[in-house]
Amino acid sequence: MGTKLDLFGEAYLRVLMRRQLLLSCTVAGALLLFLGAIPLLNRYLPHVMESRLLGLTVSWWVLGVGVFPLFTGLAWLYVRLSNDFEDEAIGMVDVATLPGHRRAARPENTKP
Amino acid sequence: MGLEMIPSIFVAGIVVATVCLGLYATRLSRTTSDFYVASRGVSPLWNSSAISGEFLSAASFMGIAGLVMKFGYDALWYAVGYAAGFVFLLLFIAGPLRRFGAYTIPDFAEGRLDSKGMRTVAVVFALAISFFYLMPQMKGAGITLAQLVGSPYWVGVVTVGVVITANVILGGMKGVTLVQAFHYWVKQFAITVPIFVLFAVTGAGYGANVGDAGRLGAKDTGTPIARLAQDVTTKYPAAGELRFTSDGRVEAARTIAARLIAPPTADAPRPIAKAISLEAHRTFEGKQGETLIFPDGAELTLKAGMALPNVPSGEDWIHPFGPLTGTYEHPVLYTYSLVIALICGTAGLPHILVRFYTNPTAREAKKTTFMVIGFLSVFYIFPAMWGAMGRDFIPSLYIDGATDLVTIRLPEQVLTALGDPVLGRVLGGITSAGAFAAFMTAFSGLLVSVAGGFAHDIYGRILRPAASPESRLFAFKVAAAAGGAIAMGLGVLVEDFDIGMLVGWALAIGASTFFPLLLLGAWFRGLTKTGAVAGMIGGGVAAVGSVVFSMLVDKGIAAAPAPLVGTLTSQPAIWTVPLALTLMVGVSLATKSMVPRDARLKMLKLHAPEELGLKADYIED
Repeated sequence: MGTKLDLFGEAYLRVLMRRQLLLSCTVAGALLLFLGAIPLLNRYLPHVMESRLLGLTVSWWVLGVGVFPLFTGLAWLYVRLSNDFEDEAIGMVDVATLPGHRRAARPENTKP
Repeated sequence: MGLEMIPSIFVAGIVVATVCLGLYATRLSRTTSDFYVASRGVSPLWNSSAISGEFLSAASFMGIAGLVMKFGYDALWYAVGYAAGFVFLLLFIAGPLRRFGAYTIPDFAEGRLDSKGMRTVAVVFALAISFFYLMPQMKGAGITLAQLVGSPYWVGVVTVGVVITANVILGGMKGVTLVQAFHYWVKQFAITVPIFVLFAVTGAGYGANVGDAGRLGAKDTGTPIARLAQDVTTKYPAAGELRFTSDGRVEAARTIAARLIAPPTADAPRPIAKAISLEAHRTFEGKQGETLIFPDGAELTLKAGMALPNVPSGEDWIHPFGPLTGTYEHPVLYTYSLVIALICGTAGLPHILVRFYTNPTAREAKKTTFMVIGFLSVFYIFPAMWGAMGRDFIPSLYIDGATDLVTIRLPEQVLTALGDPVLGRVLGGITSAGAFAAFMTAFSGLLVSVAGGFAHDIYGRILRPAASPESRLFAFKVAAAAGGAIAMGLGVLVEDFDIGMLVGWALAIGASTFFPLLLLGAWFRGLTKTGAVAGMIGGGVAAVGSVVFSMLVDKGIAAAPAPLVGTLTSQPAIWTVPLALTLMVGVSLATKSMVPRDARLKMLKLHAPEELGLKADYIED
């Protein structure tokens, strides 16, 4: 771990937001690419999308069934990575800059 | 006691269970914070059940199955869009919103941008969305109960209204959380178990049903659409249309001005409407492929021998770009715009967003949202199964466009034909109870949101900022009672109005106002109040204006625009959401001096893990 950052400093907020936003945008991008491709595939590859698999068309399988496990999986992945980063972000802060730091050092504020 | 009593016993059961749970919950709710945000102490399992319960309104429980039956493949996007909306909520909004720690969404608007005016703008939009969303729930309750037990329309409205209003007054957010969580599991059970029983007794599963539905009325190898054995008279409260699937004869009870659309031909690829008069008691001969558009309040008799009207052909039904997205010649564009509206609209519904404040921490808010996505992903596989089976077994619902009733009517219809009416009524009772759970939970969430808007935002913050927590608690109860009474009044009034589009309006407004506000509020430090107001008003007005315009076109009041304009006005999210975002960013950059001085601290609070000790909620009682 490199130098610790001031909790209230510009650098810390920047890294905090940038990393989380990058993660969110990556996941959102993957999702939108997948959903956005479906109408185009329906339009330009109809013979594939209209072929049947156990009664349903491939296109129906994708939109009526397949997207849902994908959503759940992406959500799970995001929560994991986002919380991992939060753990990491806690460790990046210089403890001396925490709001409770000085108070905790004072004897009158420590509970018996 | 006749067989027809069975479904009403199930409905009575769910209503009584709701009352009992509500009474039990009143013992848990004491403080002001209990009423507004359940003291921010709802665990992820309870909260995700409650959010799923609150979100699965009549539009999901009955509506999607009905849309799939009516439009086929294209309607699958509704389920997908709603579920994807929660993924976006998770990615961009859930964590920061919870860390902000307020009572209502207008709190966020005001606190993030240091502007009292923001609260006023936000509360107006929040109340508009909530009331638009609320009326269809009330109407659904009235119509469904009337269908089940033949009660007058108002009975269903008042039943749901009184039970839930009492629940909200007595238990607040904490009370409705229990009820909503319970209702989620009722709905999940009611949409899954009966359809598997129907698959088992008919010996035909999802694939077989969709396959059959795709052959119904198909051109070459299809099965023919059933013909009417006798004359059928239907009263149409709202304007509608009759698409002839064979040549047929129609008679009107009184003279009405209608329009007739001829099917497109090689010479005239675009359909042209011509005005006609349907003379009272004189039969009108319709040709196959023609569409008759009639005004509100028509009473039509369809003559025996004609094939069921309004049934889309098998090809149109099973393949993409059918009647739902294909009306305006730009089906791909329409599909994209619909999906954007559903995603951003879901992530911008104030009554759903407010539930995120009830989580203890942002981590738990994220976990909750993940679980909601899991629950909804299971639920949303099922409505399409009902729609496909309904098309095969009760195509008579197409006559008056009442395909919404497919989840209620299908079990009885199928099992009576198979000689087991008792099981049919029992399964129908289960789905009816699920439908009532949907009306009640959605209404409860909306009422908490409305009461919060009136009592917290308007009374507690705008009119009397010095009000004590006790008086704000009292105000919540008064606002809930008043909101419930207004909702019941509106619900009774709208019996004869076509209000199916109101949920669409709510989503369109949410997508173009709150979604951009929350997205940029959480991630764009330079957002200013002027920028936010400009974006919300610009996006909101553009969305509402478009939808109203396309409604006027539908009713024949405004002239039909070019296909591209038609697509972009009937499904405007693809340009109104970017418009709202652009206005917010652009105007904010032009008014840089108005960025709140402590914007950095605000952003830090939205994004820093709670463990670092910044955890001070905006509203603490």
